[in-house]
Amino acid sequence: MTPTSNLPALFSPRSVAVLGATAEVDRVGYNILASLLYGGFAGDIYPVHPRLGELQGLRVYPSLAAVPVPPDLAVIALNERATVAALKECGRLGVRAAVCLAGGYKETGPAGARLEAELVETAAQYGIALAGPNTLGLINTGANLYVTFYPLRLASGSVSLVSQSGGMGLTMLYKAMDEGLGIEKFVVVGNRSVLDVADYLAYLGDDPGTRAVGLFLEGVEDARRLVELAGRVNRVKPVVVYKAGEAAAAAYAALTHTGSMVGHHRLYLEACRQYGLYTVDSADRAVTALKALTTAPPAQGRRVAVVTHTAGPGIVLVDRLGAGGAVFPPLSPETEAAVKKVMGDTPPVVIKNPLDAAGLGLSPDVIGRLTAVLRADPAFDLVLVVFCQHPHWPFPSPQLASLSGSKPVVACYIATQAGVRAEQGVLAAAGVPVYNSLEAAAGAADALMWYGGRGN
Amino acid sequence: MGRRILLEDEAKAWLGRAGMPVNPTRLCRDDGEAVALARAFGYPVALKVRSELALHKSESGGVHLNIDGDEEVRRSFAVLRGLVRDDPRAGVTVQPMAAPGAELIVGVYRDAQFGPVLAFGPGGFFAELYRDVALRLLPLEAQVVRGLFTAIRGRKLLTGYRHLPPVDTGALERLILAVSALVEQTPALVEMDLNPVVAYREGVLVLDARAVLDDGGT
Repeated sequence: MTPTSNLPALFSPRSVAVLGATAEVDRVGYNILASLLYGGFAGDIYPVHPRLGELQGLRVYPSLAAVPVPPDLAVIALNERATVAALKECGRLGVRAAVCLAGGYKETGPAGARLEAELVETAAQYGIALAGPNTLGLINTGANLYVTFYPLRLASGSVSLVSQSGGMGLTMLYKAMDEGLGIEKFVVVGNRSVLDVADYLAYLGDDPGTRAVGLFLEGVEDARRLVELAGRVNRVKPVVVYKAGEAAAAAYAALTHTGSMVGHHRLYLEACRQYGLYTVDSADRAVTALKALTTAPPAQGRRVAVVTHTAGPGIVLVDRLGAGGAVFPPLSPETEAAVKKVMGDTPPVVIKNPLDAAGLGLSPDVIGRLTAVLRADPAFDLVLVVFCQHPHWPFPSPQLASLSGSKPVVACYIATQAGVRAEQGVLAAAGVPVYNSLEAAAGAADALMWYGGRGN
Repeated sequence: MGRRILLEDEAKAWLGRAGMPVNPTRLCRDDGEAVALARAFGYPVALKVRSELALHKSESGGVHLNIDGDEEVRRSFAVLRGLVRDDPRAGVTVQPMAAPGAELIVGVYRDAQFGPVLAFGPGGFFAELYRDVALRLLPLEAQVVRGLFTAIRGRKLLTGYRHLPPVDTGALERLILAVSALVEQTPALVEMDLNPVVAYREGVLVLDARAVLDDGGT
């Protein structure tokens, strides 16, 4: 077995040992155990501590060797030196996967690098799938496996995230929770000394539970291999890339014009786009795009219709999306006639695109019917619907959810986060992603148009 | 790492052997040779300084265009040679004046993480001012090359703008694919500029070029 062939044991273990479990609430070892329990892991959990008898209601084992059956996964919440010894014991006992949480390795200098080399050697010797070291951990919601020291319970979904940073990983997770976006798998790659971003990505590419992957990248050594792999995965399921480090200047001493004109961050973005990947410049935008790509079908072109009851948001959407190459064709005579059937022969509005239904649009039924009319028009590839939160005029969610057809509809409810939250479920189930900002709705539409055209 | 710079005449000769359309450019050591070359090409011609000390030729006043006559060639030669007195290997190149057209840059460099990269955009004097280049990892397929033509902000330069006609994107595509192939065959190539490449209604022409090779030394 090799580290990569043992990835299933890392994400779907039958049993988990926690080395370094402790009763002290502010310690990582406590929170790993709390996280496993809070997440509802159904397999066996073996806390390991030399002296304690019981922790959080679980029997504690004095050593890994004392655990009745070697666990599939060992979570090692010990310091950097003890982690090395613990991993060797894991290998001898036949543990196939490990999460090494401690930092203090190559990121601290030569002494740390030597310790890390021991981890790498041990993992290679026994074929252990090693996540980290220096990682926040990982999650597989399908198995209720929460191996991070931030106890969480996430909605299960089809989006998987790979992050080079714990903090940015959490940023995406918390944003996903706000957006009502379910997660399938999550991993913070840490020092990448055994399993690298590309290994996780290849695994998720083949993972039937994962329908889209979000990557937060700081930088990897073999960026070409990663981008080429992501391009292959992207043909089957969307890969969204958020690459940080825009400010880092290109360290390229160039004798030619070309070399001095190019920044490394630019190259990352263009290489991603060359391979059809959708790139974003914030964690929020990553989540926005991933939600759109796993909720709605991709748009087959860049022709957008807008239905609204207030003009300004229509103008803003035209601005935002137009900059990215979207077009807003006029309504055909047939569509105009169909709109008049909804709004009357002499509606008090100008019938055009964006279609501002003004006062008539305060009725959720009118918004729903207008959306159906524009969606049926073959001149459009995507319909955006704008509606403002009001205590007496309900959101048009049931109407939008009852529409049939394969063309994407994106809803923008101008509302509070709390106001839109109750609408997320019914709309998501009907394939309509809903956002509470125009920027997010425009980002969602852009992602759907990108993936439909794979960047063209 | 030891580096060897291919100056304009060397780089163009190399590109020409690889099948790329280059403006013929010859090195001359004295003004008599320059006049003979100019007559052979036919007037008007361009004279340029040729030295590793003057890689940015325009900035150092090392490009004389529209030279029209033997006397002018001699005067120009003297001025250009005077710019690089400190370089015993320096010379002056002579080439025919090319017709004006859409000026583009096709560049290549190696990135530590991504390997060989091609840059494409509006070229000539304004290349660095606007920095409007699209980047692609090499090698390239034809479909990716065609995507380059719409990826730059200055794409109108290719589709026809003011007095400039739409350019021969087929010829441009063949040139870029040839560059891609040359990079694949030349692991020692560190970086290269074809700037400008002039694109016409029919055909393209490499008007200036330079390349840096890793000569394997230390």
